[in-house]
Amino acid sequence: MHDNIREHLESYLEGKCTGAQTEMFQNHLAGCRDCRSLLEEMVETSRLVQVLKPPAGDLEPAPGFYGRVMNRIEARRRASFWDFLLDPVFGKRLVLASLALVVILGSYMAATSTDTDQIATAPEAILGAPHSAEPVPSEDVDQARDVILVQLATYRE
Amino acid sequence: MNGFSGTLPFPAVTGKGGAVRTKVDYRRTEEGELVRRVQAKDEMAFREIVERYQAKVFSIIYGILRNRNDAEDIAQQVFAKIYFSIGSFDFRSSLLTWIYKITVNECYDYLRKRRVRKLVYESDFSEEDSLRMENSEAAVEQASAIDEDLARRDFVLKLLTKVSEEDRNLILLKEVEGHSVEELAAMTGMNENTIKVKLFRARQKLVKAAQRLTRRAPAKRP
Repeated sequence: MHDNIREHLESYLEGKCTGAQTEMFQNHLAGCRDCRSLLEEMVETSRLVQVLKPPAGDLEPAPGFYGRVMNRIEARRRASFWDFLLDPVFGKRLVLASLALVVILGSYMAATSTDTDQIATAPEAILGAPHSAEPVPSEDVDQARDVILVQLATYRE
Repeated sequence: MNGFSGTLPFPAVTGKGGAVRTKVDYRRTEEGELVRRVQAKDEMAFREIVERYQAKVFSIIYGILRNRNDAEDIAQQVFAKIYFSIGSFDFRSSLLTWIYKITVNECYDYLRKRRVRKLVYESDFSEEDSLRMENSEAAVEQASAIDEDLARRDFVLKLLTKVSEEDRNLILLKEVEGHSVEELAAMTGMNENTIKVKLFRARQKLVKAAQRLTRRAPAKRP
C-alpha cells in the first residue's frame, strides 16, 4: 500500500477524512489496483470484527457481583499454598537448587574418595588382582581343621 | 463510540494540531491513585474498581461469547486476576487498557479450553454416531440463518487468534470499542504514529489470515 493511503487509512476507515483527503483517496484508488484491493479487504475485515460489539449500552452482571468476586478470591487464596508448589517460578528455583546440591555433593564425594576404596566388580578385575600379601595365621588354620574333624567324626546320616 | 469514554474520562490530549501526542503519566491520574490504594491492600479501593469496571468487563465478555453465564464466570475470573496481579501494574498504560487486555485474554483462554474439551468429547464418538448427529434434525436446524451469525463470530474469533495479543487488543479497541487513534495513543502510552503503524500491520495480518482461512475452508467464509 502506498504511503499516502497508509497515512490516512485510519481516518478513512473512521469516515473522518477531510474533503481534500477523500479526493486524494479517490484519485489514487482509481489508478492503483493494489491499494484498492488491499483497502477493500481491510474494510471487509474491519466490518467483520465489529460482530463482536456488545449490544448497545453496558450490560450489568447480576446483583451481588462484588461478593461473588471476593468468594472466588478467597477460594484462590486457600488453594494458593498448593499453587505455590506448582508455580513455574518456584519449580525452576527448586530444580536449580537441586542441581546445585547434586554438584556440591558430587564434588565433596570426589574429593574425599580414594582409589583404594574402589572395589573391583568385573571378573577380569578380580582375577587380575594380586593375591593378598598377608599370610593366614597358622593358629586359625589349625583351629579350622579341628572343627572340621569334629564335624566329620560326629556326622550322622 | 460505545464504552469507555462515557464513564471513564481520558486524560486531556496535549500537542499541537492533533499531531503526535505526549505521554500520559498514569500515576498522577485519579485511577492511578486508586491503583496505588489497591496495591497498598485497601479492600475498599478494590471494591471501587470492581464497581466501576464490572459493567464494562461484563459487556466486553458478552460481546465476544454471547452467553450471560459464561460472561459472569469469566468476569469474576478477570477481577480475581486483577486483585492478585495489580501489584505488577506499572502505570505504562491506563488501568482500563490493562483490564481490557486481561479480559480479552481470559475470553481467549476460555475459548481455547472449550475447544480442547469439545475435541475430547467428539473423540469419544464413533464414526457412525458422528454421521447420525450430522444428519439429525438438530444439525439441519443448525444450518439456519441464526447460525450464520454464529459462524461469522467463530470466523472472527479464529481470525483474531492469528495475530499477536497486542495486535488483537488494538484492533478490538479500535473496531469494537470504537476508539480513535488519538484515544488509543492516550490509553496505551504510545504515540499516534506508532498506533497507526501497528494498526496497519495488524490489519495486513488479518487480511492475510482471512485469505488463508478462506482458502482452507471456502464455504465457511461469512
